[in-house]
Amino acid sequence: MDQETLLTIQGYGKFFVILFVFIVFYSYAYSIYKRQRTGERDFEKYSNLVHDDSFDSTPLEKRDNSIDKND
Amino acid sequence: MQSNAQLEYDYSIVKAFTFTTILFGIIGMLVGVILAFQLAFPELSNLAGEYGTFGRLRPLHTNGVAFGFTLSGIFATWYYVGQRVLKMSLNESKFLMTVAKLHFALYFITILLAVVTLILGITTSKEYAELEWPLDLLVVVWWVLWGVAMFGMIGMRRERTIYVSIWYFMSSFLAVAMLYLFNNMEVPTALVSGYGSVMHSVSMYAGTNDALVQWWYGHNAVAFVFTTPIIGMIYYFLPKESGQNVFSYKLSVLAFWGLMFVYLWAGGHHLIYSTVPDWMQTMGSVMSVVLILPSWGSAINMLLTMKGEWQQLQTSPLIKFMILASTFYMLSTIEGPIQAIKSVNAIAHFTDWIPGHVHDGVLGWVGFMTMAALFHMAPRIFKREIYSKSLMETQFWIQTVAIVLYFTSMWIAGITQGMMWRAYDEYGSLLYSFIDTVTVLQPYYTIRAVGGLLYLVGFFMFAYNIYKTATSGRVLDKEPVNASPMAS
Repeated sequence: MDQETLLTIQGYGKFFVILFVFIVFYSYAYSIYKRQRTGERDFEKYSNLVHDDSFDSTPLEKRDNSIDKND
Repeated sequence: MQSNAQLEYDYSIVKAFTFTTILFGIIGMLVGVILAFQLAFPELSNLAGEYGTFGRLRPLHTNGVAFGFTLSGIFATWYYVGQRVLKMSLNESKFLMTVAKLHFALYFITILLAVVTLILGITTSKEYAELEWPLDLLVVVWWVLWGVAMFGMIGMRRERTIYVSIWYFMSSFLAVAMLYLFNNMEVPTALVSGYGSVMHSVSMYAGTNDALVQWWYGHNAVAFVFTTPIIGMIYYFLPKESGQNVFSYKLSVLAFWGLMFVYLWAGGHHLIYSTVPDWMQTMGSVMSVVLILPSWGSAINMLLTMKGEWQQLQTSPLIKFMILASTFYMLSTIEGPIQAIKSVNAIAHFTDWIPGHVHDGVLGWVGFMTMAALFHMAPRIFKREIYSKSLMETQFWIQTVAIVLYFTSMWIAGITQGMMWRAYDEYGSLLYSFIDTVTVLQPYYTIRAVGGLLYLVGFFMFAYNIYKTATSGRVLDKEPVNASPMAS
């Protein structure tokens, strides 16, 4: 294979690798935002884990063995 | 489960690691400054015989700041943030407390031994993996202990959801475990052949394979020591100190998985135009460019966290440190991908632009964020007000000027160097010899050394401020909620 063909393949390779990563990345982003919008899960409330972190404060979502088993 | 009333978070391990962060920070940065002056004034290389040569001191600098200063900072913040967001105390488990103490003790011994062995010239000669096999074994032991403490704490948590900072710390633990094991696969020669020093070993890989594994490790040491745990820190300390919610928690999750997916493939960019397969170089280059997305995702998320509260940047030096850290993270994560583009790499590779890039990352991002984290923790772990706000302000400006001097001089030096190495005349002969480039670069090396010295001066101010906070700061009657109290 000559150098030029090699470079062409490399060029296409580069494009498709970027495209693939792009699609995976944005599909994941979309799924997160969709879950938030439909109310399936509120991601933003987890910011409070930082503010409400003293030892005696009530957990945001108390850990419960039955919940853990469902995970 | 025990009653929570008499329990509180235990910061003894946090304090121990805070101490080593400062100790190894001073050692590592001091050696760095000596090296910078040696490059500007080579006669300084002869001051301490073989022990003062560049070859001996350079690994001491890199290991000192990466595995001494930074790792200590990571461990200190882990034991602090981990307990708090998981809502569990080390006091609740004698086992975990013992593991954490052992983690600290073995870590401290290893890094001290690292200092001694590197000064004596005992090294594998693999960059950032210089420690010889007995020390590697020790590293594995305390890394596993950290893992036991980490997953033990997670297992005991009261909070069901694991906050995103913890994810970053977990990724650091898992990735470094894998990287360190594979890159340090080595054969102790004396045990196999019966000849030579007991300390000596050779890599299990040869030639190109060794290079590939080395840079898969080397670049990801940057990823999982200098990046992910530091992001973990900023996701806790910036919202906490500013009292703001993370701008978008969803973005933090997205950026996390993006970083995990992309980072491990980018190491090939260290081997562009070398004897590794071309597709691997291309992949390293492409993945480095894609890496901009998750990196900037986190950095922008942090900057936007301050939305509507930018006046805090004027009033709080701690917020200044963190915002500048985030800004330097943005700078170095756009600079890295640019350097990884093949045509740019043809100029940048092996030049001073590379240490320039590394240092706007480590001084601006890792250094500032680690010091900010320690400043935030100080009033909570010592139960005292920060000793001096004005000292902190002065430190901030001295170190900011220091970083600017460092990276601008190295940008100019690096690009000049790269262009001079490539320059040829109409007959195809090279225009310059190596020493021509050295002569031209000497002033920039001096500027870099001055920059490094200023940063070290700032670090001494930081150490003094923390020491005075711990010993003579005003005693606080209750834990501050957000902004850290500081005496003017």
